[in-house]
Amino acid sequence: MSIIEVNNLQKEFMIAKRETGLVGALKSLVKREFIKKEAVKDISFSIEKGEMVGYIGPNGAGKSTTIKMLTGILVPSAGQVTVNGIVPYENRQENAKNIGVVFGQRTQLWWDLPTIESFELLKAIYRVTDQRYKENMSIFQEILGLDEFINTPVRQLSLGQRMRADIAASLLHDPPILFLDEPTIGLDVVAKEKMRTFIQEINKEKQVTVILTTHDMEDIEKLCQRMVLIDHGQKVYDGDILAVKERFGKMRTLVVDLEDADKSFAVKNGELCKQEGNRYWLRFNGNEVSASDLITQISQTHNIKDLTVEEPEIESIISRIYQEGFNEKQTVQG
Amino acid sequence: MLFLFALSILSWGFCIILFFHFRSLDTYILNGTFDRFLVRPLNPFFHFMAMKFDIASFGQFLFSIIVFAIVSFQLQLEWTIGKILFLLGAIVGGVLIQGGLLVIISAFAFWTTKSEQFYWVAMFPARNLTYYPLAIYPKFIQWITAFVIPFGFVNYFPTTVILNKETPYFPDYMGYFSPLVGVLFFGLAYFIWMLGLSRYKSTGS
Ligand SMILES: Nc1ncnc2c1ncn2[C@@H]1O[C@H](COP(=O)(O)OP(=O)(O)O)[C@@H](O)[C@H]1O
Ligand SMILES: [Mg+2]
Repeated sequence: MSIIEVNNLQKEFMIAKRETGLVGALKSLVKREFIKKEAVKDISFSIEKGEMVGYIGPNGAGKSTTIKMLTGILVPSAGQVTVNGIVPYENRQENAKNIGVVFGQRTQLWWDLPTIESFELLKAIYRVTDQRYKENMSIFQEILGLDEFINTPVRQLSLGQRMRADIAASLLHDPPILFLDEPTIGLDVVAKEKMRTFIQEINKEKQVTVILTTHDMEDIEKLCQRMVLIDHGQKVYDGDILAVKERFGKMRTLVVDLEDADKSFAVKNGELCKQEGNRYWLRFNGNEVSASDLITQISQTHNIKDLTVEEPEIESIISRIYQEGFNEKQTVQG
Repeated sequence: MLFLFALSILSWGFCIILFFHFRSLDTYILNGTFDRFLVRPLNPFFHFMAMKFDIASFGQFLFSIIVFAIVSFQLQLEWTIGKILFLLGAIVGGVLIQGGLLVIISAFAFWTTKSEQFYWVAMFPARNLTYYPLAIYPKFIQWITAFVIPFGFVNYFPTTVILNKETPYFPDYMGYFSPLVGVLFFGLAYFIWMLGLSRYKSTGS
């Protein structure tokens, strides 16, 4: 059996219409009006031990909701989940021993305490032996540089430091499975890189199974071989990341501002997809032509005032997968 | 009267150290902090309870001990071992009963995502009741405070035992049941809280 099994998983939220004030709060006890929100519609996948899987999709796709069901925070509306053979929401405390969790948006640490004291508390909570605690801390300190801020209260840490502390804290008890929900959100380039290196190391050295949600395509490209792409609570793609990158990731857009507008503006190998005044959007395939080729080509006939190259966003990749389908080499694991 | 008041604030002073943060459970849920209690290998209720000892309440706790000492000195009470044990039992009962009500109020947050407001509506009147002898209230209210929200056991019934006072409508030995009522009421509160937890929805974003 796979280490993580998810079958026809669903989660809907009944969102009560907001009532304000005390009267509203009392009224809402008696009679409430609901709007149904299907956050996760019908998702299945399975993950093998030691895999590192990118769980990606645009904001509001249902990534966090899925992670919350895998960690036992939320009870699914329908479907099955098992994590290391345990049904998380039925057996939260057992499940907790097998997993590490990091939510990028909020810390798991004690806000007011020096960072080291949070670690000590977690050591007690998870009953980590002195020996293992020491070993793990020295590894984390080496790779993550915790020393710099170990005595600083968590509230005073920078976002990057806090995230490093959080991921170290989640691994103190050597869980075989690690859930990372947006671990690089809001980080600068250097901090992102450190985070990625560490995640890679943990996955390789300790054979930790990692599920990583993000809406940053670069995280996935650098870390994962496999990605599960979801949108509106449904799975859009599950499989090799290279195939997607080959197909869609090479599509870029060149935005040029010309000195003078040109009604019959056309460029070889570039598809004109939008125009506003003197500004033109040209989509091109990075495999066929480079941005500088296009620019040279344009500058022979026009005066370029300004230009940028846009990388593909996850949103645009998803919409292209929708439009064109993904028939070639599609592997739906399960 | 004075003794009633002193006993009331003594057990309340102790209670808020342990349970005061329960009233803001709604905030913990809404800002997502509560999630963490479900991903740790501990019982979420006790984990949440132990999360915070209200340091600020220590002042009030000390104050209530001093008040209690002064009052019992003024009343020239003779403290026998039996009475001290009885008093400790009454305090435990009072802490559990008031803590229980705080826990029940907090559990509303699981259904309505609100708890702080209920705290102000429910806890204040209940606490105010304890400042006066129950005997001055209509029978209906006395009955409620004995059997529904058992605040009578926080201080009134124990006080009548310690001071050898009469209790209209109720037998004199009611005060001895404080610890038992406390345990039962707190058990009920725990059950309601866990029931609420099974409906926990976390928070969006
Ligand atoms: N606790 C909740 N109550 C109500 N709606 C929620 C809750 N959690 C998530 N949602 C809604 O479900 C959808 C999916 O949310 P989420 O899983 O957080 O998306 P993602 O993590 O992919 O950005 C969103 O529309 C969000 O508003
Ligand atoms: Mg999210």
